[in-house]
Amino acid sequence: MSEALLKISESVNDGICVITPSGDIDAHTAPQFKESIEKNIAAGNIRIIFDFSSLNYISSAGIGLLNAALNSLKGKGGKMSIACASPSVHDTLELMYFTKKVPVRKDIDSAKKDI
Amino acid sequence: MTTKGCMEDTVKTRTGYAQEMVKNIRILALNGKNNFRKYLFDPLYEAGWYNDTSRQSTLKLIERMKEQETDPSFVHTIAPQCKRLVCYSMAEGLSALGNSSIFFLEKIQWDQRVSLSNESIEFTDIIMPPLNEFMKLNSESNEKLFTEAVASAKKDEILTAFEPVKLSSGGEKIKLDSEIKRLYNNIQIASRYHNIPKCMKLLSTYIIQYSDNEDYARGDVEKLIDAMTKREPGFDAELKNTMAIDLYYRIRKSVHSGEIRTTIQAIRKYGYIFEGDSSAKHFYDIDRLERILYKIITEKDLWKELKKEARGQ
Repeated sequence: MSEALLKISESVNDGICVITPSGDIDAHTAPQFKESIEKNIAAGNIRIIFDFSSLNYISSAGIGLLNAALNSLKGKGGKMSIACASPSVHDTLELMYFTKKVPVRKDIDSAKKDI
Repeated sequence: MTTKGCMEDTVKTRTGYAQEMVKNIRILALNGKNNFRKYLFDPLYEAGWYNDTSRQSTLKLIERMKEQETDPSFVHTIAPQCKRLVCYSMAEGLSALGNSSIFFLEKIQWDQRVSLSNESIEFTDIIMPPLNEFMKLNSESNEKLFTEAVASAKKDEILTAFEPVKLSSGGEKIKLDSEIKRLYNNIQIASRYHNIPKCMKLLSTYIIQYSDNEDYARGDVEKLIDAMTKREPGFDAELKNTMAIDLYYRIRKSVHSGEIRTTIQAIRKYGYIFEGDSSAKHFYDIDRLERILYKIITEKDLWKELKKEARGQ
């Protein structure tokens, strides 16, 4: 199996940070995703939207990172939301019970209302 | 690093290896006599450990050693006795060899004087390379078995594997509250007697059991781990290893016996406990199995029904 690739773009507007991973989040790319999340939280970006419009796959390693981010943000009075997940990514998040913790919105504007 | 620091690290490393080797021997036992002979019996035989002069059974010898355990003056005799036990058990049979080897490895984890003895070092040096070789070779067949198990699993079996933990129901919440209180009490008692392995076992059992539950007392557990790590440096890292090895063992064992539900639940628990920490043991092995699982769920067109289960419909 070929190694998964991940590209991450980030933007901050009006105090809201949008993190957009493109590709797969699995064991191989999780450290890169983790670095992006931690860097933003450390920089004081505690209102985060994960834009999953270009995400093809997420494993429990990635969902574990989202869970860690959620706990970290809660501790700092921050919030997170998820937007634009493909059906397969949405399915995985749901199966891992993560949608019970953070709802998945259909677009960025709806996600903004959560945070 | 000081000599004491070096020694502590050596003990921890050897203890960690011993714990992993116990699991590896258990997995080896699931893989037939030929493998057991090749990867455990033969290396010890070639090292000259075989001894057929004992008249007592391995179980009897183990029982007698257990009776002596409480006597502090007995500690320095454990490793030589364990070596003799393993040597004698080789003549008795493969099952006896498995029991005696696991007993020795458990004693290595039990007391650092045992883990630093010449006999322990000799024993682990003999069996570790072949066991590692076996685990590496077995990893591929593990994936194949997993693929076959999931592919041939009945629809209902996969669906129940994803059944949610009962979230926030009154009874479950009360149970979790009382469990965390019990954990605090038991750890307090164990730590009073400086029984670090017991504290670790209590914590790992609790975390593995409840970490994917919505009412999991994460804050309390973290406080306990911090307190134990202040008292025993490296406790947190050892605990991580213990849990990763335990979950990986559950996964491999359940893959082998076709218990798909246990496999899937252990994968999910691993995800929640290690939160994408790539330094966790078996991180990549488990990730590969997960990809296989999702691929088959897609092929079997089970997502829709699985989601219904997850929603509790």
